[in-house]
Amino acid sequence: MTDQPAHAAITGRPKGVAALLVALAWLFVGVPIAWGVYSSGKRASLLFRAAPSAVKNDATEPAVKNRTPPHLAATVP
Amino acid sequence: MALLSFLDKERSIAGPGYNRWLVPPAALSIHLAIGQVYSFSVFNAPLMRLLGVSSPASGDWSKPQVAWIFSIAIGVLGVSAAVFGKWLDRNGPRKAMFLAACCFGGGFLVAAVGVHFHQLWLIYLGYGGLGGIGLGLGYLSPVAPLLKWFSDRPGLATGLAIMGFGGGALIGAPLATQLMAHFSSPTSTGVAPAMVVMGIIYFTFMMFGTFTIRVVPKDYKPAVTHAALKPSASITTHDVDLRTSLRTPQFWLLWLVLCTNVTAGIGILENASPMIQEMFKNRVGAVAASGFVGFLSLFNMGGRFFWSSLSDYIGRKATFTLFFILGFAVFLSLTFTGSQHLNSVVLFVICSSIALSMYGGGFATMPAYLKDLFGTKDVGAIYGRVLTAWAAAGILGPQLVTGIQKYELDRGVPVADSYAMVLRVMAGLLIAGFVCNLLIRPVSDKNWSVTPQAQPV
Repeated sequence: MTDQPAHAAITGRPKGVAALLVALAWLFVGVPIAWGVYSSGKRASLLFRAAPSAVKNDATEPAVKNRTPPHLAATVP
Repeated sequence: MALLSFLDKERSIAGPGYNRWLVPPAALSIHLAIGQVYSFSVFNAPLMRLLGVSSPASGDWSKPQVAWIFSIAIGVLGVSAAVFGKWLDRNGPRKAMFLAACCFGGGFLVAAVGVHFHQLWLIYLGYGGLGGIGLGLGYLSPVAPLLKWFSDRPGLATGLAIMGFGGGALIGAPLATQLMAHFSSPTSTGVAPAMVVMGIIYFTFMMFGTFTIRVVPKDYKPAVTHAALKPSASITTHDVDLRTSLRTPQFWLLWLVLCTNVTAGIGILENASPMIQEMFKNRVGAVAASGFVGFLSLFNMGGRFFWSSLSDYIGRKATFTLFFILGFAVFLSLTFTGSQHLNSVVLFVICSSIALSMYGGGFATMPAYLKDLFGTKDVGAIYGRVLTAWAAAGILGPQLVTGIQKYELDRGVPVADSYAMVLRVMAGLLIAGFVCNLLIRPVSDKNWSVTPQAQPV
């Protein structure tokens, strides 16, 4: 086992087969990761999709606003 | 019996020429599965209306009751990682991964029975207790083998695996949502069948890791083809055993380093959705906030890989120093991004994402830091003990945020501004972590075990 190269072939198998096994193993875990990243990316895009209209609304309002939290609003004149 | 002996450590020793690049996918399959725990909250709302189905009815469980499921699971994770660490080193990763798969998959099945019969204690016991043991065993099991196979690039190796734990939520959330949608009907929320299917899927997925993982042979020395870090005084070539490591100041300083880093990260993670909505009132709604949470998940996962890989080049201590300095700047910047100051959602998102990437990066870099200081012999068990800092931060972080915010609101500070003090306190915590990290020195040679570990070629 000494001085084993990083991409050493699995014993008894041609190098190509060993590489294929590694590729399949990465594919096995890579597909769910890609699906998860895609799903979350889609959800994350909601943040940017929601932004333009919100910015438009905000541009017409003063920079300093809403200093009163909703639960205190009733107590402030 | 034949299967059980197959799980023995001796049977999982790699044969000549075993390709070490099969180990990270094996580790990932375990961490991607157990990382589902971060997305358990998708079950919360349906669990709260199991009887009423469309809306909560009398007899349905409350939010605090349901929230305990996640808390128990994380608590048991911390305890089992600390308790089983040494057992894992003795019995090898294959047996641990098999048990983790049985516990985690089985936990889902027991929880599904609890959902079906509307027995909350069964869910606590199943997902929280049994599943929590699976989480602890699964989290630790690939760490030591990865560090031994990739002693030339430990940061990259553990980053790859622990990235899976962050990524697990990205898969678990849409999977659970789609399964519940598939099984739901006018008379059922679809939680129980969804849990059964998820239990089977995760058990099968984890079996891939169980059968693929291999332990390094005793005389294994990697060819340093990817050597990034040059040997230095801070990277030991000796081993320190678990018991001795607990008596060193380095262990406790690292414990504090992880605890402060995680507490600060949790401060944002726990409050991401309400924080962005309240700091940018009328600009960011609930839908956009859920997008923000998804965005943070991506950075939590990516940071685990990026920072731990970087640590192979700049060193573990420098990486954590960067976390604390950059973190301090980012947390303070966040206080000026709100609608009362710069009013910049983009800046808020950027700063939060950097902070979350470092939260994940801390978890992923820690095993390599431990390996540098204590060697590889008991590193899995030592990491298990350090993970109790996570459990402590899990309690400390949310309590701190809630307590500070309540104090601010009681003083009459507006909701949007109440987060500023929270963020300043978190920045202060990062300074404490910075000091602890600075104090870390190589472990004294009097603590070394007798047998030196294999030297890299």
